[in-house]
Amino acid sequence: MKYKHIRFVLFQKEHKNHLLSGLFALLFCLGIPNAFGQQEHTISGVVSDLNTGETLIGVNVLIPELRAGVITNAYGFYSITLPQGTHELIYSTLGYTIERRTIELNTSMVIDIALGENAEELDEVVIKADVEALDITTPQMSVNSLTAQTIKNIPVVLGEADVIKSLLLLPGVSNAGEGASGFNVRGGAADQNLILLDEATIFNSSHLFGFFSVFNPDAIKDLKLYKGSIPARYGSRVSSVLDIYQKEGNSKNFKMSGGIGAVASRLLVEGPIKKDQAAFLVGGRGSYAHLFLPLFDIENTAYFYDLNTKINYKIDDRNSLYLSGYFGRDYFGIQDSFINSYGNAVFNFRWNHNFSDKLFSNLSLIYSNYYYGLELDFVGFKWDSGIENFNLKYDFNHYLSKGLQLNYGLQNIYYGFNPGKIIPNRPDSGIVADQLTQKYANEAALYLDLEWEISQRLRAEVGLRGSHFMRFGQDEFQLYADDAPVTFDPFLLIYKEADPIETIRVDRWERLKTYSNWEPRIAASYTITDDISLKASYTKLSQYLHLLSNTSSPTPLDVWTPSGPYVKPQRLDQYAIGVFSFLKDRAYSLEVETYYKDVRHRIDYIDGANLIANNAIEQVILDGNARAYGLEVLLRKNKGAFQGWIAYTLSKSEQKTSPRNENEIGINNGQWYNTPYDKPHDLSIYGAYTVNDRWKINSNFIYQTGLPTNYPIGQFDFQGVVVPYYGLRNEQRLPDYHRLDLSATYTPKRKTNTTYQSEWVFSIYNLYNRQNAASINFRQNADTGANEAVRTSIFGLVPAVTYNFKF
Amino acid sequence: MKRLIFTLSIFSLLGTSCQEVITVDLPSQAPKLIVDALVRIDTSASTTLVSIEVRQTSDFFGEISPISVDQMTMSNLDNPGNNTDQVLDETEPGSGIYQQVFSTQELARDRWFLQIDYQGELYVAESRMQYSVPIDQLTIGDGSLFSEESTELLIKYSDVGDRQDFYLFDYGNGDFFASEDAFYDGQQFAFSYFYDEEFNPGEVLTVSIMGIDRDFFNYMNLLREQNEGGFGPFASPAVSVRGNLINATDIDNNNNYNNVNNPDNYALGYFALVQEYRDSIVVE
Repeated sequence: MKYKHIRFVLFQKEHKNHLLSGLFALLFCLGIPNAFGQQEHTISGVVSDLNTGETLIGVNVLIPELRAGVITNAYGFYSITLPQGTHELIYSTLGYTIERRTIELNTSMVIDIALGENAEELDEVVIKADVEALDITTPQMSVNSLTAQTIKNIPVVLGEADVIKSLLLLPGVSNAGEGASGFNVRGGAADQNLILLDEATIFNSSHLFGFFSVFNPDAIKDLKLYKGSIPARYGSRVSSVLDIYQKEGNSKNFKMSGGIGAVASRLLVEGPIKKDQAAFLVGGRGSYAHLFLPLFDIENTAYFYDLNTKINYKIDDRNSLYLSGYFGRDYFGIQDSFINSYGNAVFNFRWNHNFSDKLFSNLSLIYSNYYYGLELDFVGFKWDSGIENFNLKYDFNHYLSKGLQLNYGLQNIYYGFNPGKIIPNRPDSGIVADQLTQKYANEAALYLDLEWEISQRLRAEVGLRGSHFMRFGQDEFQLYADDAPVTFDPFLLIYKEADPIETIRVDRWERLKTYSNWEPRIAASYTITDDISLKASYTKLSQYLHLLSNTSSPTPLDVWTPSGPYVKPQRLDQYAIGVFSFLKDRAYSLEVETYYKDVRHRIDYIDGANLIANNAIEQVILDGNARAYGLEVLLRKNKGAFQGWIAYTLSKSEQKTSPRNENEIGINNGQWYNTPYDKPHDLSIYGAYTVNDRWKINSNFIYQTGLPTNYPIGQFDFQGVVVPYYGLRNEQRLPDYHRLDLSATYTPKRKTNTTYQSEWVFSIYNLYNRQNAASINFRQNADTGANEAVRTSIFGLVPAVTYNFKF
Repeated sequence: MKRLIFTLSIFSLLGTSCQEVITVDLPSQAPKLIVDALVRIDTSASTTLVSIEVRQTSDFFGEISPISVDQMTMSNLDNPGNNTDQVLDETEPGSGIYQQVFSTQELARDRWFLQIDYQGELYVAESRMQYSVPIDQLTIGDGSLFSEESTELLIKYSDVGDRQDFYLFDYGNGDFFASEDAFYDGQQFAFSYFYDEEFNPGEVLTVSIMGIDRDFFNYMNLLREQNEGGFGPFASPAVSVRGNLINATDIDNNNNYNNVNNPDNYALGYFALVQEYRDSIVVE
């Protein structure tokens, strides 16, 4: 049956054709014989922002009288099949006015909606997950969303809005300290998070050793963190998925926005190339604190910059193209003798295609490159390392019928790892050029996921992902006696590197090892009342790349290791159950979730392992287990002048490596020990108070148990070198961490005949100047020779001023 | 070189970070035996006075003190000859310093076995001398690394190609640096060492170069990392640096092949025979 295309656009004055098209449709439909019994038709379309033309993700499209609904996908597309008749559709999402449409449904139609911003709601705290009815019934649990506005309101150090620092305020998310890069989700390691920027994998999410994240908040459209119940379309990492979509660019008007801060500034320019059809976005950010260092006679330098670019082109109603790029670099130098630079570069091509009004597809072709380099002039060499990958994804959203949606697709990533290349940097250097063995691998996956409304109260999301990993040959591959790269010395009771019996060359297209895994995902929700629901989920995941670190936090020097003959993929099972409830007429909401995670093949390092630039990392690692369990509570106030949330997590995260046989002792005597990021208590309180039209005040308070650490149990000396020695791993703890941040935002009255808007943000990080211990080290005092314990704190009280503007 | 990267410490870049000495309650444990047995051999001399020191560990904020052992002997495993176990004598009761004169030729050529009886336990270690190469040249440079008050010393030496060599440099005052020839095999190699002070003209700087094996190379690197601590992205993980001394009390050839049931009763320190070359330079 053919369908007519009817477009509704808010405030549009193209009435002239309406009457004619309406008559035509009526005549057309009258001419067709009536169906047998209840006929069904599909409504589909794209929801976008009225002012900018940006597609809107996660908009709820509800049909209350049928208790049906659907959510717009990552590209703003939705499709729902309903019985013939009159229906009211409600389009709603936080930050926008609600749109209602009454539709006479007697044929399939395309309804594109443009939503206007709701100025009052812009200031609301926006953890989006369950403000609307549909979200309380969706089986998706363990997910938190943040909008760019919230991220910009949360006070952070130096006044720079930061995606990762904002995530840390949510339950179940923490990190390994202020100077640490990466973050930990539900007791998982930092390398267990899949970080996606417009579908492309990002390997290092931090600038300047963890002080800033690589994401420019101005360029972000949507951000979701899946802590558990990970849908089948995601895989590759076992703890979480941080899925970030950037804005496409304002397709209606030329806009500019930016900010000037104490350490860094940013500028974003966007606009139409062809109005309503093609648009671009270019955003840049850079730090300049290093320019002031020469004033203090410091010849060292540290800065970062990043660039986000995007072009999108809407070919027609069924096809859109996107081209995007990201480039970021960190640069750190000590007087020219030591220079360090690193960063991500991503290039991404995507094609949205609607095969029909029920079948949406997206094809992505991605190239991503992570580079890490060092130059040590006083030794005389330059060091380059990195990871390259080529990624293809083809994802389908198939909206079968009212209560049934199918998502499926395939993904393939080809990796090339360069663990390190060393070359002399001047003619008189004695260094001989060398290349650590490059490694190659391919990870492919197929997935199928079914969102199914079993009954009015019970919904389920059932998925299956099949992943297949191939480790290809390399120039030098080492073979060991008994396939054991690690030996155990029964006298000294220590594990040692085994000497290889042979080093062979394996052709690049031969496979050293293949792994295949099934990853089932099940989630269900049961709606008890309109305000309360119960959710449960089970997730199985595999991870084929590992970033092992034995320092207190991952350093950019750590090398990603692919699975292979000596390293098995990590396998995780996560069970979660939770209760979600609105309270007091939806002014408050409460989420309580408990989880248990079990990871097999979590690799562990032997004592004294050197992981950095190690060409044979299999010689210093052993296979072990990890587990984590906890309770997360999130209480939010969503309405009124004062809003905020309290997030509390009670958890445990530990690992162990048992001896391989009865003649060994394992690591840490084979006992469970705390992971370096175990935080039994983690409390975050965030508050936002709107004083009046001009002033807003935001504040955070954080209290966490101190991180595990190792204190010496004694000291010895050898040839005049005094050295501490230690007992079991991670048995002691640093002092508890707590701080209070405060910020005030002043928005001057907007002048009537310009679009220029500005705001001043005054912030104080760590208001009562607590010297939180980032680490406690033990050393000899250089002058007295006596032993001492030295606490290193990174940030005391830090005031900052930022000026943000847009027009 | 990877060790060099690993041990560089990063200073705070934003000015509000700080380091403060604090008091901490530390756990304590029964003292362990420390065996300081780095035997430096000058192959140009016909005899070598082997001097080995023994001490016991203390709490981190305590004092390390010398102890006396029941007996200390060194035996030649390859050519026992007439003297199966040469006993080392304590110089003065309670000094913890045990000495004996040995033939340099035998020390350089054979495998040696150290045995110590202490408090009813038997600790043993084995070593064979590693060859070194002499220092070609020492020069004082004018560069600096982190601070103004430093002195750069350039050391040049020629590695022997086609074999894996490890070197240990001793700059005095407990300053050591261990290097491996992986990136300069067979080449004449020079690198800079930075003293944390400026020297007055006329002062003499002495450096020795020693040949060591891979296990001792790993040991000295770990030792240095643990002594220096480190900060930021290059901080070293806490690890107990285990040497090559084995607790052999329960090991016999009949029932017990390993110490799996006795994991905490170990001795610290190292027994290593090394060839040493020295060189000096006068500061101008």
